[in-house]
Amino acid sequence: MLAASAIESLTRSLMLGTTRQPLATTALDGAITAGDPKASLKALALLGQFQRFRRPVAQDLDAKPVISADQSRIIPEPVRPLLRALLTERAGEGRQVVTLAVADLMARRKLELHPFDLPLLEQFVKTHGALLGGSALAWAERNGTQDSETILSGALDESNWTLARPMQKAEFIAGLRARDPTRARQLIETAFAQERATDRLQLVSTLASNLSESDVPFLQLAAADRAPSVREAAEALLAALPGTPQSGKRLADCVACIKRGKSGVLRRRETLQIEFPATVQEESRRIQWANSMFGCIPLDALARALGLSPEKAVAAAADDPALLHVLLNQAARAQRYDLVASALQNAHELGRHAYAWMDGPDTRNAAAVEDWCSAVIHPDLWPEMPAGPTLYGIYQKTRAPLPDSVARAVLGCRAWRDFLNRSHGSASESIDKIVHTAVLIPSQLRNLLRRGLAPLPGYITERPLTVLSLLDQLEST
Amino acid sequence: MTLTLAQVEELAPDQGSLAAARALLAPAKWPVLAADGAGLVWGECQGSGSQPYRVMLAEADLGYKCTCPSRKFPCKHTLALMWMRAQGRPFATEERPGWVNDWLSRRRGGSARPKPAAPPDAPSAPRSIADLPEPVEQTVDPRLQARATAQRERSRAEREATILAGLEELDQWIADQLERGLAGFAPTASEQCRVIARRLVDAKAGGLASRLEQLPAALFSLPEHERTELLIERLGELHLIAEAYRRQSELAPPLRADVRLTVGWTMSRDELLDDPMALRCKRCWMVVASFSEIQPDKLRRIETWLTALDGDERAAVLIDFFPVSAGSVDSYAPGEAFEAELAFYPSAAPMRAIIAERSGPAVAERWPSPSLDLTSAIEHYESALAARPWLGPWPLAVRDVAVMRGPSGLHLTDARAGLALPIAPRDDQMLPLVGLQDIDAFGVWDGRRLQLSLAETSLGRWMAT
Repeated sequence: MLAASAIESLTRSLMLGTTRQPLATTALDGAITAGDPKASLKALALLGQFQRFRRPVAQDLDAKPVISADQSRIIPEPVRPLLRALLTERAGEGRQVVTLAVADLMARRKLELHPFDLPLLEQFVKTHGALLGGSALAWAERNGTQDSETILSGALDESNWTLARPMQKAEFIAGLRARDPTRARQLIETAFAQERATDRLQLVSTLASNLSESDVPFLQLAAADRAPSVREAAEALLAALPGTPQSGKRLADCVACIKRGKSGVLRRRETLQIEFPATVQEESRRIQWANSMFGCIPLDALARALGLSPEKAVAAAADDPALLHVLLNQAARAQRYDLVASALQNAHELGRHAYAWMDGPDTRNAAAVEDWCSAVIHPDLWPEMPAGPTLYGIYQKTRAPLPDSVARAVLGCRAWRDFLNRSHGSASESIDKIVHTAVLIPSQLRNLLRRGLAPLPGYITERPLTVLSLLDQLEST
Repeated sequence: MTLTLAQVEELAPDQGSLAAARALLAPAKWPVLAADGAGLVWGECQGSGSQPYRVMLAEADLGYKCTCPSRKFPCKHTLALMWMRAQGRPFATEERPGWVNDWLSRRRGGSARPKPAAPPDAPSAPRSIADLPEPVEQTVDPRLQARATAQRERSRAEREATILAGLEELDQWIADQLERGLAGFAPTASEQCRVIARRLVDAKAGGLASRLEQLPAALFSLPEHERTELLIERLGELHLIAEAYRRQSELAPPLRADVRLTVGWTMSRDELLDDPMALRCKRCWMVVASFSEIQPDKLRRIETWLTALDGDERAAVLIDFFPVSAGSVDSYAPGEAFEAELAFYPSAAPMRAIIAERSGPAVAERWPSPSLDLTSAIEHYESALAARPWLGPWPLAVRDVAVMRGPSGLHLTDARAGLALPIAPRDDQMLPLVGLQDIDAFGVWDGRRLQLSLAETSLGRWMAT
């Protein structure tokens, strides 16, 4: 056995050079005779072998897991290969909508990725971590500077929500706001000053749901926040609340830029039209300007200020696309989908593509999503099946499959039948369209979709059917 | 379907396969050639192993199977069978034997193995029977044979002398490094190693040359504070090998064969299969790891590690080389299982093997829990190291271990024993293992780093990608 001092002496000689520091061969217990011409080589070999028999020992090791998965929620083994295959592909028609739909489905079903798949699905986790549970969030932030304990989303409560990661905090507050708006605001008030600007903005934004006068005092404080983005968000919410100075001023400004008139020869009906500033002339800029000006005003308040009922206000705006845009979005926010539906049915041009320009519903409210879809999506008006990116826009707003009645309307409409029957010029575009449609169809109608796709060639349907298979497997987990 | 020679040409993966198939057309090579009269044809072809290879062919769809371990599809035996069939040679009409029926019952339709894709950049080379050179009649002239044997002996003696001279040069080179001091080695390591490696190639000691070529990369893959030790070990090992080679007559036969292979002598596949002393193991094997790297000589080296699923937990490594220009190759996938007899290259610690005969695929639901804990596995490693002092990467199959994080990275640990093997970093794919208890793991240990490749855990199987 070599003593530590002997090892050090030998190593120093070898590193510095045996010319400069001759080898102390006596340290090798007679293994090398004096005067051996190969003494240095033998010493080298013996030292090397001695090192190879040293066993590595533990030092400062930590067994704390990087992620703690809730095993009862992990995706079952049979689903994993298909999930990995679809989520790791770099190309593939409808890849974006598939990954978003899978993430949404996993969130709804409270499923978690298998921990061993997290490294393989890095990009998916990075993009949709907030939907995928605590283990995915912990994975996405494993190299961050935050030192907070990993908390499973399901374990958050009023005592520990401030310790969670930013995305988790916003989700928790948004969920509480839907159930107990006052309590949610109180929690925000308590923690607000300690949060970073981006987190403060997120928390203020959650107050848009169930906004009421009781939120005014806090919003007025937030309107004086040091971060401009937080101030803006608070001001917008205050403008939406009747009785506040912000709302009064905004309402007055809005009414001032609406021109009232009459049209028709026999039956003179009221018309409303926005008078745009001289700098706002292009159609797209007009709509943008109108949204920013009118967007935070409730429909009832604007109609009252104009001396009209909401129904009459919407009818009077029929000839002004920009004003109609705004009023219908206000109606949707007020959950007056009856107004939206009837207005769109009378305005076919706008009605065809209303899903594209209407603000999306509150996706946390399933009933609101259903009403929005029924009011806004009119497949019977479609001249042709919308392209994949357009259908993706619908999904981004609903974040869920369409309601049964609307999905049946899609699968039964002439645009879909024409799409299935005509020859497929660009296979890629066709596959893209079908994949996007597949994601919008609820589980109970997927077999109907499959039957519709049956006559198509295999190279067109293979990918959409694979996507449907994955969605089915996740739904049945 | 009546088979034609044109179809045989079309199916052949390359011209070399056609040439090899032609060499198998002699009736003496086929102790069994039969057909059932309903489109199934089979034969037994005597190879270099003790058991003949069994070949079967379904003429209707040209599905085929051969028990030889060739990675070409169809292999030369299958091509030869098809060739004889196309030529109209007589096949005995017989009832199908059990092994043909077994194959039929497992068939999914079509060929047993898909034809590998052609390399992406290389156009498909034409295969033509007409272009094959005429076979030369082999007649045995005793005088010519004796002359050839003497010539081979002279060549061998010359090579021995050349190698010994190369070893002296190597020793001198190492001694020069030691005189100057190893502290100054790293900055010029690449150039220095390249020069001496070339000299060793010239000295017909290619095995030692490879070790020197790989030394700089191995050195710089480690953090600086570990490089000194690695340098001492690797250079010391080279001298050990040289000295062992010089004294090979004093060594036990397995170690003598080992050191000769290490220096650069080769043993052909046929020689290994014909060696009655070669260790053979017939087991059900599972692929537990597969590593691929491109060598400086533009060959892709694929290491496939196997562990036996039954019996004594024996391990083996298959090492194959393919030209990089061949593109993607049909290699074994981790988790795959098959029954086969392996023949091991002679060694004091046998590990490298070839497949002598492959029986067929197997199903492995779970990798069986190893019997060794980490301490015992390291003891086995140390025994192998003592038997073969220049031991290379060694398989460790261990139970009840854990993966932990340390300042320098991940470690495979057995906290009870205090052992902690540093794990070779490989992005973050091993992080999910941290915190899981009582893992069964397989990795390849090179004395400094463990290439972890498989773990059976409470969350299921983890495999390196």
